[in-house]
Amino acid sequence: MIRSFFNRLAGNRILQHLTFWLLAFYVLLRIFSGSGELLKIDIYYTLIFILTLLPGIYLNLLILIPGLLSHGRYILYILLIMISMVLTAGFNIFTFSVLIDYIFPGYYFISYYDFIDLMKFVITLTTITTLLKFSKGWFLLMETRNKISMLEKENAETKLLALKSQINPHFLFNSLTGIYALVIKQAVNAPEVILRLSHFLRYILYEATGTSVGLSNELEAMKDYIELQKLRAGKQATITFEMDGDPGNYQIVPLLFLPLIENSFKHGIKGETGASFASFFFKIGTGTITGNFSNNKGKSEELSGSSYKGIGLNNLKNRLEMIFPGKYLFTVDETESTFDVNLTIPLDE
Amino acid sequence: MVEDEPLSQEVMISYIADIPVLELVKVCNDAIEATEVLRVTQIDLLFLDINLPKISGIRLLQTISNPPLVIFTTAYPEYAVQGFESDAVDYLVKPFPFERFLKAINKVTERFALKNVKTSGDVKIPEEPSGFLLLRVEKRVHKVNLSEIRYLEATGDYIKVFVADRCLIVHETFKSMADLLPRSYFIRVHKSFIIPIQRISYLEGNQVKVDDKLFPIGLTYKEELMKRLNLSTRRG
Repeated sequence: MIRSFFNRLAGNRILQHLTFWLLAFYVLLRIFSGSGELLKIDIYYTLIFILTLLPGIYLNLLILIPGLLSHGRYILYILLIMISMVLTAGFNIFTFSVLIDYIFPGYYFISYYDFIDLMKFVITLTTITTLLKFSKGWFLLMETRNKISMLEKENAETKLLALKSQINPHFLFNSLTGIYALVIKQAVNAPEVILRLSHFLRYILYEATGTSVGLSNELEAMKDYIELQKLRAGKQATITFEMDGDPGNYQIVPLLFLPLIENSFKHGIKGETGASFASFFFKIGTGTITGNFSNNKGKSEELSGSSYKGIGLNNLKNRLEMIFPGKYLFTVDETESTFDVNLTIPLDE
Repeated sequence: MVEDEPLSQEVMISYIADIPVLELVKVCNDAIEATEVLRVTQIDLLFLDINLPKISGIRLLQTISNPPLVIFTTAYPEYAVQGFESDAVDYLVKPFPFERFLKAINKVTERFALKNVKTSGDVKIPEEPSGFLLLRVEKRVHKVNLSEIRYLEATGDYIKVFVADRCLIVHETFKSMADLLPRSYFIRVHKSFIIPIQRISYLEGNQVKVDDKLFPIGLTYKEELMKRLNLSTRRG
């Protein structure tokens, strides 16, 4: 109840001003009526007293502050605010000495205050309202700043994640180590492997930077990656890559499958010295693609101090949820010795 | 050697085969296999990959009670600090050329000599250096006994190493060569000369006589030479 009141107050300007004036009315009423009992005439007096101040106060809040003070024209502002305050005090005196007889002819008012006293009231009220306006502006500023920094942070994180998911520096150096070995023994397939690596790098660095790429290019890059990883695997490892369906002219969000493939090698192939396996199967349906990957569950120690941790499954899920809210299918099946993931995502024509 | 990737294994095997003093005992695919070999065989030097299946190379080294000398071979430069903390002789980041490998082996022979002195309890420095140096000259790796080195001379990008009756021309910087030689036996007396300190017969002005040859003494090297000679006379 209280909270909902404050929420409404925070959002409603008119309500804020009304609350302020109600408070001011109450305080002034207590001052004017003194310690004696509350008379009808005191209420009228206070009401008219406040009304005479309103033009001056709102001139300050609505015109002078936004028009002059916010633009750094301090001297002109001080000059005008002083004139406005003197006029306000003068208007108050004029009201209670002349106009009042026309408004409430039946009452007889005595203005208790001289010009100096009135000036004190006017200055106090002007100062309070000005400060209130500033504090509100300050709160708004802080809120905006918070929002901006939060957005910036999120943006940077997303970019970082995207970047990291694209290329693992270890993969690059491991591939180069493999190529170095092939060149040293003058293997006939060394040129082919170098072309694969350059093809894959070109894809990652230049093609996969947008929001969508040709499906056939993406699949080709995945194949390159798997072939390069095969270089590192032992003779007892079985690694297969299969595809069903026609990529045609489909477009796909790039590099969503890569972290999963990466994991298969990192935890499956690399985690076992005996017979390890990793199989990658892509099925292209109408407007969808399913990746079905499985590998042995190996054991590999997560080394501390490594700057590259790879993309966790949770991160991938977050990314999928952001890109295709509710329109993807992602399942993970774990047995004692195998690890199975299925990911289906929509394709664009 | 502990290395799980076949291609890296092949490179290491060929490097090791090219160095006369190294004898490959076993190629292990993971830490568990290596532990078993270490338990039953006397191993002097271990080439250890870090990113291995099951247990990392660093962890393996921590679990061995009396570890041999270790050279880490890995594609990951970020573990170098951890690697050296575990008292490794060297840390090779894959892919590395044969020259870099050779340098690591030279560090090993130096350490090995040191280790033997320590275990024998003999702290007195013997007259003649006992170790050796591996130098690559074109396709061959020469084993050079430190005691046979007469002097070294820098010529451009190459270093002439005069050993007994031979002269080997090595492609190396003079600075890194100076670092390879044990400091207690060799001293640089000139921009272009390193001589064995024990063989000095006399000094004359800005020249020093070693065996039957006079060498110039460079200004910047003179102070160090005098200091070292004083120390050795006092010791003798």
